[in-house]
Amino acid sequence: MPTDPLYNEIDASNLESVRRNVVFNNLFVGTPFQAKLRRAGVWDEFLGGAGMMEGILYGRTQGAAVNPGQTITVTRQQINTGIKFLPKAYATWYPLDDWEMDDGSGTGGVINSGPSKIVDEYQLYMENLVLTMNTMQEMDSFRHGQAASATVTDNRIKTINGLDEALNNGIDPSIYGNIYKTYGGQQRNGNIGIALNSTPIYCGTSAGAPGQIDFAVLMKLWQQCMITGGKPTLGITNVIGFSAIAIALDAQRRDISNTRHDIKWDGLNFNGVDIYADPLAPSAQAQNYIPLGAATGGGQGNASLVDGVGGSTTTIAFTTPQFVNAAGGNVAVSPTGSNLPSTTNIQAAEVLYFLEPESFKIRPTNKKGWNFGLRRAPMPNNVSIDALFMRLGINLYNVQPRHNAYAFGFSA
Amino acid sequence: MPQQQIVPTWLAWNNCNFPTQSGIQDLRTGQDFPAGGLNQGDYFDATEREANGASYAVNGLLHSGRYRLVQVDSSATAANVKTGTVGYLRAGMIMQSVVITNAGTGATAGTYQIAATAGVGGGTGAIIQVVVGSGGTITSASVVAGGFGYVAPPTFSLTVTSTTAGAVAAQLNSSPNIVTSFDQAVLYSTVVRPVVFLNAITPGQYGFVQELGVATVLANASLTSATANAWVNTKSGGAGTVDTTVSTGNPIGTTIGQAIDLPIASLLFKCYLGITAFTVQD
Repeated sequence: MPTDPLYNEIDASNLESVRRNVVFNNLFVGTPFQAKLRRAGVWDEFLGGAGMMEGILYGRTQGAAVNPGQTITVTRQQINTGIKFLPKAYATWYPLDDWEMDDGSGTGGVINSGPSKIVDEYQLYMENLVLTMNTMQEMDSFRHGQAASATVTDNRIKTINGLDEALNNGIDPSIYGNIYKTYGGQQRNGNIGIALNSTPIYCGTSAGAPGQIDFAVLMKLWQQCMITGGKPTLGITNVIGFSAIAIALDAQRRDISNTRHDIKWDGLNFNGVDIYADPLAPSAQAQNYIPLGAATGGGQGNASLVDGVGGSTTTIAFTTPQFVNAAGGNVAVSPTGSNLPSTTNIQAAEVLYFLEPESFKIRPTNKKGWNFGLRRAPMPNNVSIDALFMRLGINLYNVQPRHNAYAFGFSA
Repeated sequence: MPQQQIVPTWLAWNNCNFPTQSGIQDLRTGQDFPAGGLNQGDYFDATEREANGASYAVNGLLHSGRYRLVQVDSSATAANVKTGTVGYLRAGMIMQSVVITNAGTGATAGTYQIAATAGVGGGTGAIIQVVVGSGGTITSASVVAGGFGYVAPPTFSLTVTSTTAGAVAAQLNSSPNIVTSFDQAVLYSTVVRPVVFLNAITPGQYGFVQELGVATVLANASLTSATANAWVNTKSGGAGTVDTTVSTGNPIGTTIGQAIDLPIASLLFKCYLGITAFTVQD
């Protein structure tokens, strides 16, 4: 209820002290994975067409040691094919009321204008549209872009074709419990063999509980990339995973000084792989510190960070299938070398990726309207409200999954 | 208000309890601050994904359907306005029209202005004009002033016209944008146009209700037929909770839709509001 007199002397005589044009961000976090990929030059604009096809070589010609004069039946088998990805559409939006805020044209903003304006609301919303878009992209980079199927439990056909489906071998479940039998529309383990496979490395116990990451796991990751001709230079893990690595490697430290410990473990390089801490990378514990997913949405429903389908990158527990050997017999552990036990409830916990940036492609459209472009749609019978959409046509995929690897099932 | 598919809701749709219709209140004067573009009566259709994403988990998950910003009448029973209870149209606040129910005989020709009978209908200020023709019958009746604050139609004494048996009946206005709790609707015989409350809204304040689509309703402690696809009926004396009855027969006056989930006593369950033709597509 209004007071009488309406203003007391203090409020009638003083403004509040407020710094103009400053709003402190207490929601969004950084998106280093995208930044590192862009810095590595993987930005390849999509100029148009019926999708993004990448040629891949998977077969060899015939050859053998021979005797001079020997006759040979010269045959030919297919050696190359392609993988194909479609551009994926993203949008962020809000209702623009030009009674309240001005779009920079100076024609609106009856309220949010003049010397009493503290913050330009239009600018705040515009920046938020970009941050929301980047957050969705970052989170979706770690997920997949396939339709649900017998081995893929969630439908993400609208989102980019991220790491979860790229770094899979069609046999072992991913950190989200999915087995991706295809990649880029191409069947894995069929006529092309294991050409598009990358095998995850499970660090947990045989009972499914998280284990420890250690020097040996790091070497295995490096080894898996190297043996296929890859050269991993980019390591991505959640900040929680980064801590786990630092804690594990601390055992390697030999510090004989007990007078002054100068500890600086905020950067790690392992065999040429710069490991970066990404707060939005898959993690079981990150949700304790940043609001991830709709479940932590708060009273407003939008006080959380979500991906392109309203989910998050928080890892889950999943049950592995009964693995079989080449003869079809049941085996206790996956035959791929992933170390995953059969029919076990696995806690994916924390995840570490060793990546070769050159094998990635980020494909934003070169059309301005869909490359963080704006579409303003007036509501024809409303005097002040327009819908403002920021739009992005893009995809992200990997053309050589075998040059990359990841480990999971460890905790800090 | 027309359908508004571009509208600010400020908070999750099932967590709104605004003192003003715009959702913004001037801190000093308490007045409705008209900015942002939200108005009482704004309604919109939402897909399942949109509704899920605009839900405040503590108050449950919203589903595809039609949502409307309404004012909960100040005389509603607060305890009956909460997640899953059913509310109804509030009787209009003003007299909108008046009809002649009996032209009577023997009245004195002339034009009369007649104030509403004091103490009837809960409001004040309604005035009608009655015209008596040369034949001694009432030939017309019209509204001079609608008055304010009525919860039931006012009555008018025609004694001044000297009529024998002449009578008129007042009719209140009607708006889907003010709703009340079930018990109040029963009290004033306005158990029409059911809506489902998404959260507790303080009587007199504003919030969103659902009027079509997949709604979450609160089952009464006693259910007649707890089966999926049963008719969902507002329970008489149930404070806005619902009962379920077998759907082999016809819906009854208080039927609001059909059960989707298996109804369980005293728990929330999903119900398709409306009787097939009034559904909203996801």
